[in-house]
Amino acid sequence: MNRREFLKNTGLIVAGGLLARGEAAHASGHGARIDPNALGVLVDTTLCVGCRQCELACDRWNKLTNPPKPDAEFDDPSVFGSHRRYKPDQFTVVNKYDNPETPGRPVFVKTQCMHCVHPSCVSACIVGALTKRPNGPVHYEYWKCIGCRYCMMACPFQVPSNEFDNAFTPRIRKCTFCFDRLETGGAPACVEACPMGVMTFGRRAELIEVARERMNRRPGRYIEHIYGEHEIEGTSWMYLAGMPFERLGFPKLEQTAPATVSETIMHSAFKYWIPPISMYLIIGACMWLFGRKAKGADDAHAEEKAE
Amino acid sequence: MSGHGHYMPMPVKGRFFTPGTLALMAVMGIGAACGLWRYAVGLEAPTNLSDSFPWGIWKAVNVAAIAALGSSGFTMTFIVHVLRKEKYHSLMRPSLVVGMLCYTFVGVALLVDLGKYYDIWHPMLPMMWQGNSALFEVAMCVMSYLTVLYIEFAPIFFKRFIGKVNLKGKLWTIGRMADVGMRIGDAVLSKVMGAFMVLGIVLCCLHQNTLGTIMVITGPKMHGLWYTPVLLVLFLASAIAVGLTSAIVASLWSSKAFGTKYEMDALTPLARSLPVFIGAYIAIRVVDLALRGALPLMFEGSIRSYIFLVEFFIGICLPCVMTMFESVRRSPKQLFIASFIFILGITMNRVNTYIVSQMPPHATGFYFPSFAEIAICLAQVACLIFLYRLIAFIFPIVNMPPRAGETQPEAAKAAA
Repeated sequence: MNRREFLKNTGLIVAGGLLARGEAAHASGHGARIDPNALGVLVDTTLCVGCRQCELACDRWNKLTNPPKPDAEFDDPSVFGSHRRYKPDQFTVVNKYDNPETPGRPVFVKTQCMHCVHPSCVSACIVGALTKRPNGPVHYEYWKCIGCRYCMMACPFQVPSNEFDNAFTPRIRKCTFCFDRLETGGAPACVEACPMGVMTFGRRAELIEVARERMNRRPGRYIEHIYGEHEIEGTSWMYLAGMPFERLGFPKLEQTAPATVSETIMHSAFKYWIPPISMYLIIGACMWLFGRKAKGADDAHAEEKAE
Repeated sequence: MSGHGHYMPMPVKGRFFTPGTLALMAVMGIGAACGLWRYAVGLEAPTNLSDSFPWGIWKAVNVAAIAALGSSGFTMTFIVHVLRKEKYHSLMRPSLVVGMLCYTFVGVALLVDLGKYYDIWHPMLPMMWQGNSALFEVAMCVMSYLTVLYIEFAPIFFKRFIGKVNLKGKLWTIGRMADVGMRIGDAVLSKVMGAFMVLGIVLCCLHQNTLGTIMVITGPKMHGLWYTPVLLVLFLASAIAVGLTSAIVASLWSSKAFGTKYEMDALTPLARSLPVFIGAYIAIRVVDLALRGALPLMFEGSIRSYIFLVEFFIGICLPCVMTMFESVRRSPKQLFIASFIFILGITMNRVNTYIVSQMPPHATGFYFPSFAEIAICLAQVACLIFLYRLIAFIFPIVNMPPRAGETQPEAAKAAA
């Protein structure tokens, strides 16, 4: 908590001026702002039983494993023995967390790319291979990618994985939000496959209403926190839980997106090209002034040669 | 010329291959073998890179730290060609060559590190420009600055070969064309070089600070001792300071290697600026830590805090204190040690900012470079030194003033 405190202070004190200007830079269209029709998913971790049908559906729809992993492997509960992360052939995982308040009734958490509203990976990508689509998905285009892995560095949720073992055509791999299904009006494969109704798919703005309603209807069932509503300016996938999110593997994050801080600095340093050009003119003027003072020097380089 | 009559750069003569050179080649050979392995099987087996730690020492050392060392080019250009401090003229060409080689190796490092290295040119395509990305700005500035460095080196290249292209037979015409081309190029560049020098300084300032901003977006994962939104200020300030030390180290090292006189007439006064520039960097860093309330983190007792203490007090504060003493600044050996410690300190700072500070939420274990990563990293540094030696043997880079009573026909020719 302590650390977070001054990370916050940093933003406020040191870069305060920059940030103030940044809000303007924002409005001028850097990074996609929340589209009122943008889609999202609300994940209610209190309903999940850890059946991993979402993992199976994801694998099948995105044709991740080749040859396809047998269905039976998705029923194996032994995987919950370790904390699993995404792999190039696994876009979503369910992990088990013990809740000390309800012994014998663990909490299962299905995670995948959060599809941030103002994604760090999109902001970081050197060639624009990652884009935020207006309807929600953070989309990756392989042909643009150069494999620098800056998106992986940038992601605060540690989502993108890389095909490190591919010598010639390594891809960045992550949940696609089933953008291809969304285009035809469908729901993501995992959402459709869930037998427990853990995930609610719909407009992000409406999902926040749904979440509030559930909290009000069942007091005490949920902690007062919709993870992803405000974290780093919001995520398309949001979570409800009965215990603190830090204990369910969710990083504690600021409300300001790291991308906002970074973009503000970047655009301030290049505001209308004034800083670089004025720097050029000032140094050029110095060169000329000192050159006149230096006796008999018409051009420094010619002089060097004329030695 | 009157102001600096002692300044007489000449190609180095003598035996090229020494035991040291052969050692460099051995290191390069091991690195090349590891490089082949990396290209054959990808990054998985040869490196310890992972989804938790996707960037390793190739990014931290061979890109970020080597780029910082390459600042010697722009700092010395500013001192010699903008401020016209003629007494430092003898340091200019070595610094330029160091800068040129360092930035070349930034590109080489990326060719090894990038997953799709053959797409390294993508950032140049306007359709892929991504103005929000700090890395994009670095890529564009590094490419432009590398071009400027080659342009700044071009006159040395032209002067070396003008009138010396003696191709026989059918190739005679080509030789003549090359000769005329070089003459024209030299004549044009001598008129416009000032513009390129200023451009180089601007480009360098722009991307040296952005090398820091690159890490700002990883803020939520970074340790408070290194994360600050003003990383750009820290990186630029340290690049200027380390540019001076790398100019000093390059000069002392080549004097030693080529058996010439130490340039203490230039190095001692230059070293007097070190406590100022390193001190300024230390001051900015301490103020930043204090404003963020991060000073107590130094003593939190974690591994990261110990690494910070080593970086800050030994790598950065110690050389600052050392160079405060005139005796250190006058002694080639002590000045070399102080400067070299600072270079290591800044290298450590880049490694810490890019790797050690990273605390990915789901990391298991920690990144430590594999043998192949270290071998390729060192091979690039060895190759850099090797090429410096090669260039010093071919081109007039190193100052070789004639000793008393000795005639130097080569020097006379160079002066013509």
